[in-house]
Amino acid sequence: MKSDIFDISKDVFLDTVNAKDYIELDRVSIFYQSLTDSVLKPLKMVLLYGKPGTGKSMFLTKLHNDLSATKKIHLYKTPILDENEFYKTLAQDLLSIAYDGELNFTQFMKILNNSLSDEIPIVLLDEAQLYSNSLMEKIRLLSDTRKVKFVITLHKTDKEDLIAKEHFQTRIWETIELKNSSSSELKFYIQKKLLKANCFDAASMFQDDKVNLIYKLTKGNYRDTNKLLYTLFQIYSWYEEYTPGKINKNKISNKIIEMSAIHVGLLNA
Amino acid sequence: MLNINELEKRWFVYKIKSYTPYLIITILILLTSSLLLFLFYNDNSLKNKVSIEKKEVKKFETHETYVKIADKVPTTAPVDIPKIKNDIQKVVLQPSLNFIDNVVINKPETSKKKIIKEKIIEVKPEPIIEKIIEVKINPEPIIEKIPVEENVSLQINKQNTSNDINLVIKRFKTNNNPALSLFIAKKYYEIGNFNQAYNYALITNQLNKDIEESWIIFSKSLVKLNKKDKAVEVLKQYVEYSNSSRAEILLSNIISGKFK
Repeated sequence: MKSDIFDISKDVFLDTVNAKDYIELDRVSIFYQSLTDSVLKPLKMVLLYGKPGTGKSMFLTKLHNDLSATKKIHLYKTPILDENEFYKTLAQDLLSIAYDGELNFTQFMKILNNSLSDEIPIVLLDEAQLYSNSLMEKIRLLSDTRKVKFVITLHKTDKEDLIAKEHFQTRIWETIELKNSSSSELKFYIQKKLLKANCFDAASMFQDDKVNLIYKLTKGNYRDTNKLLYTLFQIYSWYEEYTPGKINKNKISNKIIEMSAIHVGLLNA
Repeated sequence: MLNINELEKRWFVYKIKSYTPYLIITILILLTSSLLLFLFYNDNSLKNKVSIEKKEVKKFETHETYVKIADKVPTTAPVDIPKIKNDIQKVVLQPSLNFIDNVVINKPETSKKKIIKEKIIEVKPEPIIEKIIEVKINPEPIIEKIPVEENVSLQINKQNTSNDINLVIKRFKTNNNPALSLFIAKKYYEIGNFNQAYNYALITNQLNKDIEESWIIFSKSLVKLNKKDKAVEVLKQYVEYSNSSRAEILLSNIISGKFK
């Protein structure tokens, strides 16, 4: 039975972006509420930024999931790097106009300005740092028309900061920065995730000192934590299968945490 | 699939790496503390050694004062050596006097003179000591005389062994006093070591050619070493030079065969 628990627990931490896996932490909930409010305000653009693994994609997914029933909202998880393709996709999704041929920026602007829809559609662009500077400039111009609202996510690096400054500083009315979790938030995150999957025994194995060690290794980054815990339960499954005497099922072993960290590259050995 | 065995090995390497700084720090602390302890004890032992050496030096210094004083005896009165020798044999019988004299030496000069004078008065009944006093009045009359008695007495008490001669030789090497070399020559002559007696008499003559006793020992040693002709020749020259009656008598005794 225990072996099943370790296997189930392992799957809990698969690094996937699924709105169902969203864990409501206090601070994250405040951010999410702030984002929801911003989207509902008559803003031209909203910038969501933070280091990789802080939950930006999860935020967009959750927002899309929550608002799609009541709002015209479109999520683009992977960037559309070709400009022509980008406009055609937007025309299709926002205005329900399909173009077979080329659609340039000028043509799309005309179509957008002539649209008579009362409701302003919301476009969620994930990984916006991958768009070219010229396309980002055009996205800014599109938002100026107030016919479409953009919510974009950026990785927080020097380059992205520059993009934010150059292209959006005067237009963005709302910026939200996502940060890594604290140690207590991380404990809550791990246990809540496990409890959601009914892994009660596994959740009880994470005492404060163990979570602190995990926090020390991952610095509270959700993606790193997921990767680490996935590997950790993978190792536990192996021990359970081949040398069950070596593991203590009441608490997580520091050794196995460190072995997991070595495997995922959080520790150099 | 994870390779757990490989992962365990990597984890083991990681643990060793993570403990290495602590291990190094611990070793460094141990080394430093042991070095400090070593230095501390070494320092203490050095201090002890120094104090012991100081004590030894003090002892040696006190011994040397006797030596120096004793050395002055023959230089100031070389002629009286045979007399002193005789006198000494009498003085030897008074060890308590020597002890008192030692105490006197360590006192300040002003008090010394008084004490020494008193002593001289005590000694007066013995006529030979009076003579000595008379001879040595010149540089520092009284201070020097008293040690003379001590040293001579000390020497004579111990001169029967070759070790004692060695001690005097050591002293002679430090100050090249002809009185000491003469003394050594005489002692060697007495114990039948004529070679050494000859050598030290020769040294004495080189240091001071006016010591009659030295020439006599020198000549006697030559006779004993079967160099009668040389002894005669030396004595003749000395007699010509000094008109010494003792040397003349010895010369005639050698020539006549009375002294062999």
